[in-house]
Amino acid sequence: MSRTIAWIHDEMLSPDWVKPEQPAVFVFDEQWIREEQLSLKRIVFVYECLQAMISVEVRKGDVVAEVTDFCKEHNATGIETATSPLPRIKRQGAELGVTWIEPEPIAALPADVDLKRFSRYWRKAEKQVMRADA
Amino acid sequence: MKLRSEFETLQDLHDYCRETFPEAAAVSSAIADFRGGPEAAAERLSKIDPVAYGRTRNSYEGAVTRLSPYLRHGVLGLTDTINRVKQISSSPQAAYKLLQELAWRDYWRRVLDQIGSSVWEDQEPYKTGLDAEDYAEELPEDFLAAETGIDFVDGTVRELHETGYLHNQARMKIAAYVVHWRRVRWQAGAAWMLSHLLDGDLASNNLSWQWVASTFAVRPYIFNQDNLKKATDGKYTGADADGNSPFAGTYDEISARLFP
Repeated sequence: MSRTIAWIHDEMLSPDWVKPEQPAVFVFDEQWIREEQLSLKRIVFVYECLQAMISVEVRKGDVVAEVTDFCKEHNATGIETATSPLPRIKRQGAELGVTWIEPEPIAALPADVDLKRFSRYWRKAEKQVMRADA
Repeated sequence: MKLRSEFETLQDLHDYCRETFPEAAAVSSAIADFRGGPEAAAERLSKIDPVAYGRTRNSYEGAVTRLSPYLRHGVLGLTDTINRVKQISSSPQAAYKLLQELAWRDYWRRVLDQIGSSVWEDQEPYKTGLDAEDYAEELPEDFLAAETGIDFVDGTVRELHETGYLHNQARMKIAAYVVHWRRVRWQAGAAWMLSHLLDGDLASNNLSWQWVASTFAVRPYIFNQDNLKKATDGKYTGADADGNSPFAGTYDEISARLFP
């Protein structure tokens, strides 16, 4: 039977992403911390968020290597994670061959929606965001 | 490397972070007042007032939500938060400004999804009459050390370093100061802010800096001393100890001083 793990990245720090039967891992990305010069208060904030996700294994290092290692430990054949526009997460996810899970969007817009200015986006999104039936 | 996941106390966790992340502690070892996690997020969410937000969000003492660190890290989902705002409002229209500001986050993310790493590059030329080469690459030392002498600038730099959070008006105005008054490329300021913000978000941060700089807007964002005093509810004068302010004057006068 195929078994998947969840790779919890820094845009999905909610217990809602954790399933009881699915092993999950979060990796403090050393390259990200170094390149963006993250200060301690940010690390602490993220770690405090992880405290509410107690079944998630916390690691530090190279994300692709650590998630791959976690996969092997759990004899998993697949990795699930949430979509993200962050180039860093897209790149790591592609290397890991993850299955992307899309959170519910705030508005369903065509792929070629004009994003040149917010006003153009808002003309398309406003009705859906402002509808009263949510 | 596997890290600890259980801690007796918050202090225990903070001490462990300090030992395990010396590289981050070297940048700044301050710990913020914001607590991470869903309980703290729910508490913030229970305190928001969408109607007051619409009226007062541009003032320091206004009813801003301080949800951004939770939204950035997915502790709160954007769609869930929008639905919650509607639930506690008499109508979506009553919460229009807050819902629109939440949609800005979605907009920035969609732009980032399209442009990827070029979010670090000028999306358009500057509309200041200057070329990108006219701007310095690095932030000035007196700025980073909070030693410019200008109360607003030094106070804002210290606040960011210590708390990891700034009111949106402070973010826009400090960005304008860096880019337009000190003539530094927006990238230097954006990287500095990303390093310290609890809600540090590549999309919102970089594209907002580009908006201020005018490389993702039709004109540069500037402000004057009267506007600064009003927005900060009197917390700052925008002047130095002798009462001199680089922000004094009308918008036309300031534009004439800053731009060729």
